[in-house]
Amino acid sequence: MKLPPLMLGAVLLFWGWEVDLPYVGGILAVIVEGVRLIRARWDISDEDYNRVWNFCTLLFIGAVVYAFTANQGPSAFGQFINDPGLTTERAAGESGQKTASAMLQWTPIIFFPFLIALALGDRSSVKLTVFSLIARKRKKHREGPPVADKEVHADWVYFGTCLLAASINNNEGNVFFVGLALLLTWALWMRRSRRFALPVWIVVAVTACVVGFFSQQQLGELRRFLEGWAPQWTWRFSGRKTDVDRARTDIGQIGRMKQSGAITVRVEMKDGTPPPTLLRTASYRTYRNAQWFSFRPRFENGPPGSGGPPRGFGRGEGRGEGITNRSPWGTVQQESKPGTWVFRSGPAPMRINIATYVDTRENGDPLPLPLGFARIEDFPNATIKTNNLGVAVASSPSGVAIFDVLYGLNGSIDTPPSYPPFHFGTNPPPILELEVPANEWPALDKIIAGLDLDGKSTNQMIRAVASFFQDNFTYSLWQKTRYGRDTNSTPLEDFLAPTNRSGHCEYFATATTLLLRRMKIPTRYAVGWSVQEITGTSAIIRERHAHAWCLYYLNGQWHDLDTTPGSWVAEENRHASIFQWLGDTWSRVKFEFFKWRAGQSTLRDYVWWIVGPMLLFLLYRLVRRKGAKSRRLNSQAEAAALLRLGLDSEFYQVEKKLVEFGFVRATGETLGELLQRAVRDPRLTSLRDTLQMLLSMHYRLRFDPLGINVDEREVLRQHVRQTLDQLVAARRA
Amino acid sequence: MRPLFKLLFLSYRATSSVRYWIQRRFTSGGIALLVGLGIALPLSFDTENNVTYQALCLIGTLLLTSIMFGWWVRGRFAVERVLPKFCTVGVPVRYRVTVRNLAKRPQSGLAYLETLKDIRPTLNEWIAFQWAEEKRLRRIPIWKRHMRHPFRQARTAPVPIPPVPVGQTAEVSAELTPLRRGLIRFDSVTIGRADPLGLFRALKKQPLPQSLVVLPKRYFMPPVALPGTMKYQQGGVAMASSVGQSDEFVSLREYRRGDPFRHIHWRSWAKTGMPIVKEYEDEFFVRHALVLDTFSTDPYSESFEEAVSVAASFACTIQTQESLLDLLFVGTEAYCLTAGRGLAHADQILEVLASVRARLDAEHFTGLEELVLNHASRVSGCICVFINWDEPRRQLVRKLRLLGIPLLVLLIVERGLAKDVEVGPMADDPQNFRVLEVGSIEEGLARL
Repeated sequence: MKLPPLMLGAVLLFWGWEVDLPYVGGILAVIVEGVRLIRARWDISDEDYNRVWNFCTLLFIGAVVYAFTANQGPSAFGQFINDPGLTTERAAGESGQKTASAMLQWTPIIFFPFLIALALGDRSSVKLTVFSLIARKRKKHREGPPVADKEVHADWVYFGTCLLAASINNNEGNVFFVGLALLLTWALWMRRSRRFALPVWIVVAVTACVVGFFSQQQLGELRRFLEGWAPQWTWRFSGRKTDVDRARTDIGQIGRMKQSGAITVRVEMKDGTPPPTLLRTASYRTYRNAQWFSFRPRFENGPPGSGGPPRGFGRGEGRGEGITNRSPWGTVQQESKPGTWVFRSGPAPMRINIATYVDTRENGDPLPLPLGFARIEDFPNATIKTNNLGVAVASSPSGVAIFDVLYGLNGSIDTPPSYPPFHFGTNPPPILELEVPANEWPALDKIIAGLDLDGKSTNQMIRAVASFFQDNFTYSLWQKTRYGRDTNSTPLEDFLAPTNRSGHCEYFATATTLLLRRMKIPTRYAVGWSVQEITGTSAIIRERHAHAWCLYYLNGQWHDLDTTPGSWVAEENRHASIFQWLGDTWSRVKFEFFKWRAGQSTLRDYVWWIVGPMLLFLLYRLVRRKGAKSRRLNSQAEAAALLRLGLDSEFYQVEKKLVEFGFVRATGETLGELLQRAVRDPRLTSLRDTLQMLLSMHYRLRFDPLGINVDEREVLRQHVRQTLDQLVAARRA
Repeated sequence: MRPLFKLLFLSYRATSSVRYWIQRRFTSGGIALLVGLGIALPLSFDTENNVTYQALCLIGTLLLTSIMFGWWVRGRFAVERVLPKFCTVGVPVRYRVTVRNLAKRPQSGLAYLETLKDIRPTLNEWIAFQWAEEKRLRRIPIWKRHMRHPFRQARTAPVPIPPVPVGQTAEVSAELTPLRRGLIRFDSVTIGRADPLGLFRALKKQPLPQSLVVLPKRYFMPPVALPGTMKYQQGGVAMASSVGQSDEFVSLREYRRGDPFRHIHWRSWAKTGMPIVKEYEDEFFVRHALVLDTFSTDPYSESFEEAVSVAASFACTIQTQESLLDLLFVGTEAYCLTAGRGLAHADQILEVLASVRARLDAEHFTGLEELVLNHASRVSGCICVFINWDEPRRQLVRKLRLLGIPLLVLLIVERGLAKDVEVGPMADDPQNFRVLEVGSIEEGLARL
């Protein structure tokens, strides 16, 4: 290597100190300097260097994966992709920044094998083809300019990389600056201009370092000033997720109500549990203008001016739509067994495993759960809260929720039908689960009249309603005409009209919910997922399987009622993309990766079984390469051979002395030409013959196969000594 | 589009100027620090998580300090450059430069820098090249693309000058790698002096215009058995490049109508009283035509450059002691150069080939056709080096074959296009129709 001794050791120590890896830095420094002590050198070809480089690249990729996962990269970027917003963007940015910082810090370790290969091969530079596949290919095919033969001074590059890696720290103080200044000036000293005297160089270097020191202090101040001056950026919310307080339906809209085929939930049935048909994420109570609310909207607790909030309520309390009317939330406490959450007591014989994505932030995402869920198991590091409508919202730092849910059909955490809180009107207040907007009454009553329900039990009434929808309606994703376009009718009224009777699940669920309410059966509107694609004991749920249905209350318990015609699944699947398998594969990869990140996959155990042998194989190829050979320079025979070549000739002292007169031997210039040039100087003219004689003896020593004998060598030695004295005298003169 | 191109052209000029300035002004250490500065700059904005801003400041002040020292060179010099007559494109050439110190103090720590004439294109040339490049790259897969740089004439590097005592001369061996054929014009010589830190150079420029001919690249070729037999050459070797008859005197005979007056033997006329003329020996020898196709849509086409190289390889290889070689091509006008049997040397053909430029008006291909057909009666065989195989070229080949002239047709095509070429009029003589792909020309020639 061209770098002077101890320079690489010093830079590695400096790097180790700055990035809090002093022992690693020390060990690397000892190794790299220790290589200088051993005299064995390897005959390493460019091909071998390329292999070492590939090995280092593989290490680098492995390190990137490790750093990315260790810095929450997958979850942060997954969140950012699924829910773009300032917070997720910032989280992703921070994760990326941490990964990049870690990678920069580790670079000296990762590329250390290459440095050692350089040291063992006694090389300082290698060809560009060692690093670049493109350069290799171009060279092979003789394409483009001949950049492939360019040499890269890899030892200097490594030196610079260490300095850059050392700068990735947030240590207080000026140690970094001082160390950097010392190392840089050391490097500059090696390549300084010999035209200037040493004091000039020192003054210039010190001046530059001092100015640099003060400017870096001022730069920090400038940055702080700019930060204080810069305006705050506005906060924005964005994203698409289930709103547990309000469901905006597509009722009254036209066009295709199509969802994508992306897999959102994976279900695995355990202990012989039959597959659930519906997984609910949220339920709602009040219907207004094609929207469902979990509460009664603003100003509907009583007509304006009919009472108002009771005395003692402050501003915004009791009047606002989402303050006191909203379903109360309660945080569920984790059981002593980590990852276990109990929602209700009672038997829960059925067990399924659910895997889905959830928000990493505290507000979380509603979990898709079957009606009657009682316990969640194997879901550590999560935060779960529920409301009185049976909705469970969870957040997880990994961004993925994989858990077992135990449920039974004997109860649920949903509260019974209730009166609205803070009703300020006349008594008695209506039960929310029986409330139907007055403008929907005529159409609903007309349907009920046609069902002939007189004298029928509640169960029979429910079955009659279900049969009514199954027999008289069709499922359609494409809404050609806008229901409710006529100002005298509502979208639901148009949907129920005998001439139309076609729509998507939200129409059916809403109509069923309101129809049963008109029959005095308490109902709620539920949204979630329909489980359709079942394979053996597992099932996948796609985005287009998003569904809405009705919950009715009977015999002190809530029950699911899905009146959407069974053809809806076939209709949805008909529009599936032919490239769905591709998306499924990607989804699987993504899911496995998230699982691995969340520590719930066994894949992590296998990664090193794959990467490890690859690394070992590369190492083996490197070491056991055919024809690889080491050469030792320490044998006495070789040393003698070198001496035999006359490399110890005393004449070189004369050449060295001539440099002081300004006669430096140029590239390609012979010693004879140098002497001819030198003796033209008036100070050296008198030495012409002596120098010619010495050169002649030197040439014999160097190139004559017979060499010169001992006496002649002694003569050469003496004459050189005398000539040197004469040269010194001439210089003084 | 033109305003956009103008903007791009200005940015090209600015970028190339900055690059040229950096390469001359900064030493390798200085360039390394500039790269460090470029890496540290984006990282320096995050002063909370790293201290790269400290490195940025230090590197910046080191460079600024160096630049402050880089504006004057004390000293006077007399520089002489000894250039060879020719060099070959792509082959480094070394030449001697002597630097004499005319100042009153010894000089050391100097570097010699070569300054070539600026040959950057005009706006129109640049636009023409960009369009041609765009068309060329469109055919090539994105991972195989590489930009051409036809406006770079040579690669040079600063050479350190050994210390020069007062009144003495130092000699340096400079190296230059020509990147395109033609004429390299040297503009001036520059003596550089690095600052104390060895990062930035102060420059002293002296005009020293010279030029160097860069010959086209030549390929090794096996001995080629060219088609054709010896043919009668009116006027013999001496007149081979002009008109008339041989110089070899055979006998005297009576004047016949049509004999040139300069062949009249006046003494015999005086003796006999009737016009007598000198009769010369008829000469037969082999004469080949080397037809170079210069009509290309791309002014810097690789296939055109390779065609010139192939022509140059033939010009060097064909034994011209006993035969003649006519180089036929159309430049600014139709040219015919004859070499061999003492008429001209292959070097002269190479010199001409060094300066051949592509013609972008393909419709004037008829000019080459006329030239070749007019010449056809005198040649034993014809080597055609084409860069296209369209109908006019096929037509020319057909006509030459109808005239009974043996042909060797070499077609130069871009990479990967050889398999799509139809033999056409050479179908009954496929041995003498060779398609050479850019990038594997030498292999193709070796199979001749």
